[in-house]
Amino acid sequence: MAVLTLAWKSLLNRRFTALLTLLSIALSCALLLGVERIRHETRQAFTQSVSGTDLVVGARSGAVNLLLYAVFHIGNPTNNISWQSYREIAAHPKVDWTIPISLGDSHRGYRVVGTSPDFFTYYKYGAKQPLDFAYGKPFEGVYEAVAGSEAAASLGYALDQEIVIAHGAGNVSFAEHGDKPFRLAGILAPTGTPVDRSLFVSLQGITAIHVGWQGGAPVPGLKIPASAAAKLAKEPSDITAFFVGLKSKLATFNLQRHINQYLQEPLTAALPGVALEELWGMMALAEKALMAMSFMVVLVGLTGMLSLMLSALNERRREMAILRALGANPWQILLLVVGESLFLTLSGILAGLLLLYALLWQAQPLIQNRLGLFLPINPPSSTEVMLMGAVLLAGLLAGLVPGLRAYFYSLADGMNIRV
Amino acid sequence: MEPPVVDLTGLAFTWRGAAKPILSIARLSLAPAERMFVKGPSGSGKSTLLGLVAGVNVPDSGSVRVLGQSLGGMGGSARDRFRADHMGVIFQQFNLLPYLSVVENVLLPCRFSRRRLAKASAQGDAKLEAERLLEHLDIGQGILHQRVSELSVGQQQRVAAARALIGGPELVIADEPTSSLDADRRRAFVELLFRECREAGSALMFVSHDSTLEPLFDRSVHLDEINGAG
Ligand SMILES: Nc1ncnc2c1ncn2[C@@H]1O[C@H](COP(=O)(O)OP(=O)(O)O)[C@@H](O)[C@H]1O
Ligand SMILES: [Mg+2]
Repeated sequence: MAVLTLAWKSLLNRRFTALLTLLSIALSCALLLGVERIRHETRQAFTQSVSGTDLVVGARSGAVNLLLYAVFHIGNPTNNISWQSYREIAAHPKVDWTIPISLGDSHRGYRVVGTSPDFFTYYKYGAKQPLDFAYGKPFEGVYEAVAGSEAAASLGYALDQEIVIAHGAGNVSFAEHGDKPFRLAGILAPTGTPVDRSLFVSLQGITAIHVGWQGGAPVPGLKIPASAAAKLAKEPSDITAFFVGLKSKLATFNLQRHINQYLQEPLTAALPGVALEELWGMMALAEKALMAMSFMVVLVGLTGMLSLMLSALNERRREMAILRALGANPWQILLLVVGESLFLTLSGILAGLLLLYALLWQAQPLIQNRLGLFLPINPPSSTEVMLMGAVLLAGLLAGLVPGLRAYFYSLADGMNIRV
Repeated sequence: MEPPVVDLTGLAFTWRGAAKPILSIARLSLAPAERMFVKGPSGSGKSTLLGLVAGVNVPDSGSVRVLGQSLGGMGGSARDRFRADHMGVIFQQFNLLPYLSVVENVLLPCRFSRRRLAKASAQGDAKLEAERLLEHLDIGQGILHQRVSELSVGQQQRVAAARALIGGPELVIADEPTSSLDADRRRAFVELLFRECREAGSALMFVSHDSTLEPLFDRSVHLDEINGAG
């Protein structure tokens, strides 16, 4: 232990270069941990978004694609499905509940989802939690809307706020349904899922605002007042997709086959869990490449430490001879050098962790706004602890290089240094 | 009767990679509290001899006994501990660790040896003992907390002497400690060293190629005369 305090004091004496090395280790660790954290949290976020749904049904496409647009509002549907097909499948005896959704409109950059009030009853997220209302209640009238927590918060909306829905997704909309404003009837509690970033209206509402529209644009000269449109809007002719809950999980594959072989219309029924696995499989390569790159950056940081220590070693040969003369054995000389790498790596890792949390804390709202990914500030996961352990081990191994050199120097030099 | 502090018999030593032995000494011994001057030209093997006495190097043959104990009979780390417990070493220059204060440098042997720590703390605090020794060696209070790199060479050598002497080791080994000092300072340094060795009861093995100091010692040995190699 005597030598470890010496290692510490010796480092303090070279605090400037030591600090630079520490900083590079800290930055590389923060990168490594950050990549892992985002990887984990994205998966978590995806998994959390569909916890109670047995099947997601939409027009024929890949399961991943269907899941991405129907649940996560990423990308656009290939096709719509007919209201009739939906009604028929919803009436299947094995089906417990369904939630129809209709996408394609937005409000100031937030997706507007047309759905039925069942959404608020049956949709589950996280550990099978139902949705909660922070304020108000589900929509009832045709021109009523419900906002997700984040959409309401960042737009600064309270109940009864008037909302104009725009045609098309994204911030730049082609046309607004300005003549048919909605009233905010409820605001949901936060869920950490895409629900937070969406607004919800009834299917009739979606139909009503499109009355008198053709091919995605209003028919020129035709103006239908809101009250008349509400009366005209009965049932939609088609929807984008729907979620299915089954009475018994045992029927899942059966019903999936039934839907996939549906004669009237080409449909796809996706099992969320299976589709997510497929998605992870697609992302695995990119994830691995990213992880490998972060590891490389850590290696660069540790190599910096190694070269610092090796170049200091020659100057320190005299110091080692002195310590030998004082009764230090060669193992203690080894520990003196390795201890230095341990201090540097350990404090680098801790500083990196601090940096990561500082960044998380700073960037959390931004990431949520821009990417819709909520990064919770959790303690390090076991994987992260393992990564930090791996970095520490690598630092230790790097320290062994100058350490063993010092060990053999101290054996060969004895008490006198030959320069 | 007390055993000699150092007792070398039939000693031979060859550096690794060298063709022939650098040292071959039939007999050399140092009595308790004796002050011995070992003289020899540069490169004659003086430092090598001290390394053998300190147990840092191991002879090819023959025995090195210190305080009656055979160093050859000990394992490597036992020899290191023995050295920490019973010997103090002063080098020609750059004796001090630059990242420690003067007092911390003097206290270094106490980090490696409990025995030295216990002896240094016999009067209370080891730190006080370090300051006492430094004061005896003309290192004033003002310098105690200065960086060692700011000390003059003479001051550094006196701090090194204090470090060698702390905790009263039986043997002090000095490897040309005066060579980097001005000629007029050398004698004063040696006299201070003698005084403190006497007080601590330490024997002194002092090597140098400079014979002006030779008459001050109890005994003087010419390495060339006792060394059968070379
Ligand atoms: N660590 C070492 N390894 C190999 N040879 C050494 C080592 N130290 C000293 N020598 C050799 O031993 C010889 C004597 O060196 P040294 O004992 O330092 O002499 P002195 O101290 O009398 O000047 C020299 O020729 C030197 O090259
Ligand atoms: Mg020498």
